[in-house]
Amino acid sequence: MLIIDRISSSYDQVRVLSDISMNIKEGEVLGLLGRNGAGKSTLLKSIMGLIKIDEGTIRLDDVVLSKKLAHEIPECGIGYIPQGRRLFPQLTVEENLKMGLYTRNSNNDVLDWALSLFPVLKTRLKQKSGTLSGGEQQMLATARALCLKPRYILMDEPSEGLMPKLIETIFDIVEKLKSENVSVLLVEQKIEGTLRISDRIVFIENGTLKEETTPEQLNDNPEPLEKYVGVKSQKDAGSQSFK
Amino acid sequence: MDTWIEETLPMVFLAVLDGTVTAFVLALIALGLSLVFGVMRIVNVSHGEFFMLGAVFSWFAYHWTADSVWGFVLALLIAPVIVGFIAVFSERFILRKVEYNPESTIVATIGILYIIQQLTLMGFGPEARPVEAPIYFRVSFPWFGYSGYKLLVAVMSGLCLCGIWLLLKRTKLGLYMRATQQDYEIATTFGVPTKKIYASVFALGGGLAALAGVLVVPIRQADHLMGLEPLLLSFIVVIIGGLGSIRGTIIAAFLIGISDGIISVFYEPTLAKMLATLFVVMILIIKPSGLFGENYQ
Repeated sequence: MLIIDRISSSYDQVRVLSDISMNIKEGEVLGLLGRNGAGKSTLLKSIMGLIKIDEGTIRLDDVVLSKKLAHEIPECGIGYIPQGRRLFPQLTVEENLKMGLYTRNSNNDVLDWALSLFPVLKTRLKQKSGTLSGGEQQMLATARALCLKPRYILMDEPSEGLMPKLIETIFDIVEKLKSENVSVLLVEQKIEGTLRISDRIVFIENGTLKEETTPEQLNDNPEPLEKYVGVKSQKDAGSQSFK
Repeated sequence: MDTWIEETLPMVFLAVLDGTVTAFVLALIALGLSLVFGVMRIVNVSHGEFFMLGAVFSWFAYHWTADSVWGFVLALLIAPVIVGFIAVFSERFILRKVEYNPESTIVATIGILYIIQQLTLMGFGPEARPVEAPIYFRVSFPWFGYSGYKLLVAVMSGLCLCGIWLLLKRTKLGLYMRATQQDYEIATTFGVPTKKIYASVFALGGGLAALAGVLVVPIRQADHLMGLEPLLLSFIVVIIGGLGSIRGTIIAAFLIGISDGIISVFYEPTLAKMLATLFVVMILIIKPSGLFGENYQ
């Protein structure tokens, strides 16, 4: 289990996260919702060690991640798909995937598995990743993270800028990962899809965790949706995103 | 007309030959500077001093072994390693302390330049000292004979450049270096120890410059101020080629090296430097990212 225990983080002495506690169980999809600037991406970066936490601890089972150097955290089996994809644009598709493979010395079976999820990438292996379309870039960013064979994967707005069909593909992949016992912490703006695939939902506002619930509970009582993301109900959410 | 061609052609050939040798060595030095800038975003003003140290260590090796061949081999093996360690030391205790801040590192590397230069002055002395070439033979062309050692320098530099190319394109370390160059934060999330990569790149850059120093010292003499000219030329090459672009650096080195050779033979070496500097100004105005500057998203 990934346990986040009372962590606080700051950017240039400005407190961005305050006293956040949550956990992600194995094989679980946890949706993290909140408005822009609420601290969702900062939380993901804090888990990855990219932002140093001021207080609290982050543990993966018995391993204290928050005491590790940032580059040691992926070796524990945590993959990260950043917002905006952030591929290595001058590296080829194959080289981007190798970055994932090298992280935990994964073998070619892992590569085959990742490519089987996104077959279009097979035909683009020698192409520079910066020349791919937006959808292909998102597929590559996901496949790259999967190549490290993660136990936990942190996804920061994977549907951003994608057409609806591709968004569905990404959500299908999340469900597939869940079926393979990979845990997912999903930061998303597409509420309907997030509620459909998540086991639990946590709401974050101004760097503080406000409420934890389930999609079923939100169906009965959609008040947190309106309060924290400005959407009146699941039906209203449709495929819209919030700001 | 025929007489003019007969007189000019050998000079052009000589100029191109000299220019090519210069280009290979320059590419070796400038590649180190370009790598350091590309990956670490650091303008290393002390880069020329690593070149100078290579030449000075070569002189010491030559005198210690009292044999031009063994001295050369020893210097070739040891100088890049020692300079690499000096570079790692500088990276660890100076550049890392200023958190690789671009402005601070310029001042810091100027400091490193003076420290290395003055320590060399104290230990080596102010005079220029010759080092004998490990081999001496002349390659005969229809119009003149040419130093075989100079051609050997070009071949060895070329082999080193191929080696660096293979390192960057075919190895895990090279992949990590290129990934760090493009996005060090995301490279970290794939287990890349970026600080170690920075140290490796700085050592590699210093080592390449030192290697060039070892190769060049039999052609010219070793002295504590010899790092300044290659530093200037390397900056010219790297700016023209595009900061951080390996391909651009090598092409620009040949552009500058061969044009330098031709202009120096027919006019004045100073004019060659002036024109190269003018070319840099034009590049900075017309295409600031350089001829082959990589455009990242």
